[in-house]
Amino acid sequence: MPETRAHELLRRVARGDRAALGEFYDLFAGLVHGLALRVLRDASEAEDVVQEVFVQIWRQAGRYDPGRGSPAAWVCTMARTRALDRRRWRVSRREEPSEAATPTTGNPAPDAALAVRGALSSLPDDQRKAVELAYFEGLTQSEIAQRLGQPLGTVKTRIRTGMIRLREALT
Amino acid sequence: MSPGDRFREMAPLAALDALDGQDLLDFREHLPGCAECQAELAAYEETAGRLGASLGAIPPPPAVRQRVLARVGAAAPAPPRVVQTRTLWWPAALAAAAAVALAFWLESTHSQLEKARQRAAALEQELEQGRREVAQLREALLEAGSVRDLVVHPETRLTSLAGLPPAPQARGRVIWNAATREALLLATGLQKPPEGQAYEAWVIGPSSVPVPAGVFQPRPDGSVLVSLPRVEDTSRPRTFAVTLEPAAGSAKPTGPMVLAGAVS
Repeated sequence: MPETRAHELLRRVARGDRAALGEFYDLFAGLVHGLALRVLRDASEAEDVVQEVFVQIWRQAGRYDPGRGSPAAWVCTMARTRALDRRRWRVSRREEPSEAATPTTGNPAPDAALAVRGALSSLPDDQRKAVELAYFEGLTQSEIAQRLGQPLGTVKTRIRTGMIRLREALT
Repeated sequence: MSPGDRFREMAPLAALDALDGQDLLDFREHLPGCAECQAELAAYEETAGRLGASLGAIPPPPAVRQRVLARVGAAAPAPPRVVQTRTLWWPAALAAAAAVALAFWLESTHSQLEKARQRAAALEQELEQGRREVAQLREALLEAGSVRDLVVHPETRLTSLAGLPPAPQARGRVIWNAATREALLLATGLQKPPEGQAYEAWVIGPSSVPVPAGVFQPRPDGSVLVSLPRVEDTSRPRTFAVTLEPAAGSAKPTGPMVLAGAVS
């Protein structure tokens, strides 16, 4: 991801530059949409998330702090929070769409996506599963232990070990 | 493990919002005062953020882009503009002030909403913790209730058990009821059994054959309170005994007898 370009666009968005928001959208909308689809497994809800996230970016671009992470990570955090909020709301009303709507894979993935996907798939299955349940489904350590029928200590170790490896692989 | 290690190990889980219960409360309390954990958390948050990119880009339909730009066009964040005071007509100044106030208000409302959302998530976690504690207490209460029912039952009897040579300091009591066939064993002065072994209780009835009545480990202080299963011979017991057996228990006594008492 062209980081400096994204930084510059965010600075312009913070000054109220609509064209810059359009360009920023073109850089990151696919990322937000892919993540929302993975979490929500519902096309129209995922589109709503994309819309909400970019309106939020329009309002909050001035708060972006490069010291706290890349623009991509910032955008992903927003997308994940919004998608998980919707997912929890839906789960609380027991409206779970079928797994059939799962997106399989996106467009030819950029290098960054390939790197992350490679790092994830290099994890042992049990670690990858635990990390994915936490990140994409928003489950806590106890909920994951319950879902997998594993002791809490085991689940904590799996998530921790998985994240340590991902961190090493991605830096 | 030092306390610092414990928190450092929580950072990767915290970055995924996966902590809950006491871990979450402890970590939240620890974080503000620990620069190392803050740095760890930030690094893992960056890693977590990149997980979102693992699927690659899936472009949304073009209509979504138009909707976004239409919405922000209508609700521009009113970037501060330098205005020529002289040329301002007062209603326009008022309107501009109102617009700035509105922008501030929207901004602060939004951040309040965000804070409320975080607070709600934290409360949800605390509620879950509370629910678990209530369940544990309920279980303990039920147990205490059944002990009380047994003790106050008019037909409940008490048999004392004396420590035998392998455990002369041990003392025990069996509180039992022939009608309900319930029995509780209380003992003190029991040593921790050797590795791979445990204590086993026995009920000896009219048949003179010891019937197994449960395997148990004493607490660290050497005491024990166990409910003996409803073995048939609890209805006409003559002797209660405790022996040392393999940890899995035995069908008939094989090890030394440590406690025994005859029903008077």
